[in-house]
Amino acid sequence: MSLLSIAELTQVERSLLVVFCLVGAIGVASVSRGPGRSVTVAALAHVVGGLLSLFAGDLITLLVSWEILAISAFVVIRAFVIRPHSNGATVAAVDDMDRTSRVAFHYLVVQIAAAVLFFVAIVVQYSYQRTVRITALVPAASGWIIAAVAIKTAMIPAHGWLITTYGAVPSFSLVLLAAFSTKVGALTAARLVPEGGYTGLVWLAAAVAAVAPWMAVRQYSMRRLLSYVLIAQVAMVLVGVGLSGGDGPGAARDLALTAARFHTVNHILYKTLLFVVAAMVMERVGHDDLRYMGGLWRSMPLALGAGIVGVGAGIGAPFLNGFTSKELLKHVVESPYIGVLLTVSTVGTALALFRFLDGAFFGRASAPTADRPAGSLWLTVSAPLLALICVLGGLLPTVVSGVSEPRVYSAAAIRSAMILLAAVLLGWIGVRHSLLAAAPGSQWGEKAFTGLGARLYAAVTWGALGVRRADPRTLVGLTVVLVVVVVLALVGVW
Amino acid sequence: MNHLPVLLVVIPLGFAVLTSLVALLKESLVGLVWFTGAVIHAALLLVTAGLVVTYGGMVYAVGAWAAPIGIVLVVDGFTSLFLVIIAVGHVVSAVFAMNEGRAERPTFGVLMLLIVTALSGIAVAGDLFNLFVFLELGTVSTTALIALKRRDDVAVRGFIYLIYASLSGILYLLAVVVLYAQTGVLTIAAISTVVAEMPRAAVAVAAACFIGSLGIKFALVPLHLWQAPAYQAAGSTACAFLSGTAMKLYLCALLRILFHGLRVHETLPALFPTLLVLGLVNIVVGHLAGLAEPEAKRLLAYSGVAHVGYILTGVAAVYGITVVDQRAAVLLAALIHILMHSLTKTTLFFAFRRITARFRSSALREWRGAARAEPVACAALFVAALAIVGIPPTIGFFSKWLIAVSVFRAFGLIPVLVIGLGTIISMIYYARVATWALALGDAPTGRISGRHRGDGKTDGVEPTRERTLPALRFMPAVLMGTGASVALLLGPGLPWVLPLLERAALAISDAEPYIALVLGGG
Repeated sequence: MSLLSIAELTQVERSLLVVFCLVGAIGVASVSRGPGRSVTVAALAHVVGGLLSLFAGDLITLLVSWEILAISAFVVIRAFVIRPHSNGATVAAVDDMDRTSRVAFHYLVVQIAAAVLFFVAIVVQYSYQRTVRITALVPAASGWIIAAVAIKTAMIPAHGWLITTYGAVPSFSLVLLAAFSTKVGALTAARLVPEGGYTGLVWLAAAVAAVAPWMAVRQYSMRRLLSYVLIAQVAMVLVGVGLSGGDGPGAARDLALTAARFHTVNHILYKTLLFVVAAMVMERVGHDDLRYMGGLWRSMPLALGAGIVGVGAGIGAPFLNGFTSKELLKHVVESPYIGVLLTVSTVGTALALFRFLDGAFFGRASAPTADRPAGSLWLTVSAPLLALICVLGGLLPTVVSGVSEPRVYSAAAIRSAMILLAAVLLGWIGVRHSLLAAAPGSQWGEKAFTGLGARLYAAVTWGALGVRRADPRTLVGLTVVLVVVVVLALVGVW
Repeated sequence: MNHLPVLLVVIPLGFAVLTSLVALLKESLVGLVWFTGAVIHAALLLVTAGLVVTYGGMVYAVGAWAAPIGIVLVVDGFTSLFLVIIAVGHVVSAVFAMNEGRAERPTFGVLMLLIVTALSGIAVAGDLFNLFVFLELGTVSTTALIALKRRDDVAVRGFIYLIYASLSGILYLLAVVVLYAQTGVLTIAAISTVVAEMPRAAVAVAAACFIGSLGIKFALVPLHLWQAPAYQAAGSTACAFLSGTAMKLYLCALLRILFHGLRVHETLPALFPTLLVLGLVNIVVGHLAGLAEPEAKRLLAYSGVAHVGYILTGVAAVYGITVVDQRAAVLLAALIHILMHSLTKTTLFFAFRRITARFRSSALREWRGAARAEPVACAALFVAALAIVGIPPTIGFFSKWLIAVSVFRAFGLIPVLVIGLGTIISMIYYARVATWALALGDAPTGRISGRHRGDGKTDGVEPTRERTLPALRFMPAVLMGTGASVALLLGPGLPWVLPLLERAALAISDAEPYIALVLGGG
């Protein structure tokens, strides 16, 4: 069993590597601005975990990368005080921890649960294949991988951890945290495709991709809104992963995987850009409630420009990088039903991101009058840098993906995308006043697991406290019962 | 060198007597005498283990009476692993106790030497009755170690253990009676030659009684109830030794009896599903009890209960294997887990002891800011916790991985799921400790007052009071650091210790070489 082996990388994986390094550098720089300086080490470890997941040539190294990501993120979250938020703390109450501890604790436990499912999967895989090298998954293991990846990528209804964490951590650590965890989950699924393809993953992911943006539209917290959009985008990556390994020819399978990875590259870039813009806005106004923002277009033109590029890429506007990978994904999708679901997803994402952009920069509230810091250098540098890369990626898709499919980026595709987005934009302008004012702040499903966990925890505590007494009078009975049971088991079986 | 096996028992016994005599004359020398005894004995243990690994097993016939009639002491490849565990555990405990100011109590050193005598005897005993004698010696010294502190309910907890242990003794004798009535011999190797002709029911009853008897000692659910209160009552050094070292020797005795004496892999294959169920129950109950546990040493006691479960599960995975080498490969996983648990649990108890001393409280939730107050102890605690939870690349991951893979082969998916569940639960309770330790709370900075800090407020931080922490901090830090780094590095560095472990696994998985060693060599 080799402890560390290096995988060969294709061109799109090399692009992933570059993007991980770039975004990791931005994230580490961002985190190290925070009050705790020692946390830089943890942030670096987080990036290393992400890179390791790309290089990992065997299952155990892959598991190591998951664990490194989880534990380093725990330390990063733990390092910064999370203030109570009006938008409700939905983390299970564990003893008398403060809010920061609770968020970090909750995050770690969920990540370890995902890692344990992954562990079960690789035990099964190893038992059938007798190797820890990454080979085609056996059917018995694929269900466990799907479960692990579904938690790691926060597929609804296992998305509570992502919303509660990303909706609570300070914006500068969010830039780092949002970059790796879910993406590594999706990429792991892309590495470990079963022989006959994943069954059911396509439908799960397509459904999540269709539902999550509409939950995002209902958010008024910027971070939570972007988190739901993130879930939808990662689900789209998983659609690509789920389509690979089907009955089709080998080239089509590879194309699906390439499309998934390509979308991951683009998604990381524009999502980080959006989080950077959100961080700039939050630094400026001091909160992240879209209902009380607006008028920033005057004072933050750079953020607005970067935000427009980010939103455009996120909704798949032509000539930006999000468009290229989304079109490649649509090209891979053959089922019309999934195509419809993806279109629903695009419309919802567009509405949600319009709400983000419109609410922050043009919203009803006037620009803040208080003199707050104008934003730090790293934000001002990284936002246009990322925006530039998003534009270049849109213009030169073959460089990133290594795929030249002229049909995909045809004039017809550009035209239909333009028409769809223009329609959504018009629709948004029609409803913006009522939607910007409305504040439903949906929390659907976020408490589903944490509430269950809290109740389970309470029950277990109660039960375990009950049997703690070492009463010698029950001892004889217990011992006799044990010995008799063992004897009966031994005698009975043979 | 011919007398090495008996010296392993005689030397610590002699030093125990010497230490108690020195205590009468000059109490300040007690620690030194104990430490000298520990070092000499550890050197002997390591030399013996080295010789066995190099040249093969040794047999010592006490009084030159040959095996079936006389008393034999046997050191084989399986024993040598446990000799190493005793050696390291004893010396480390002695160093830690001296630096934590525990060695001033003369009885502590004497009791440690006595229990080491008992454990060495358990390791080398070649017949069932001598094994019983050493088990009883272990009982007496363990009871005294538990009840050593002069606090209110401590004696009660020692007494509870005594009751449990007496029951353990009764069960053991019952098993011995059954075997003696059937075979007429007590030497383990001699029993092994005739066990195939015994009625299966007799083997089953003997095996069940041995499991129950030794299960009380190593905390087999539901016979674990003595353990958490006892550990809470005992000192941390004693706990570290009892959980990290002594518990392993009881497992050693059980494995020796089951595989060499009763040859259960041939005579009683139904034992392994039973062991699996017992192991899984141990994992679940131990971890769940740990999850609900607010007190430091009790938490570690429950974690120990759970890890006994992992080891039994690993042993149960030999179900259905007929080839010796394959059986050895499976038992290797359980032995690695034994080594891992010995290492990490000792480190954890030491780290907990430092933090408890600093905060004057063993309630986990009062350890706010422990990471800043006791950085070395907390770093060791975190690394050891990662190892014991089984996060790669620590040694704990590899033992868990090997156990999971082999148990999946034998019993399918459910045990693997239970192991996974155990990982999650243990991660929860160690993460809780980490969360409190990392909390930006009010860490006591200077010397701590003797008062308990009830609500975690700052009333306890008063610069200098008479009850201060022991001055010597260096050695415990070195010990904890070493333990943690070994636990971390032994994952990738597992090949370094594999020869010892593989030899032990091979020795326990086949009774024939053992019989040839004891009876053939004469």
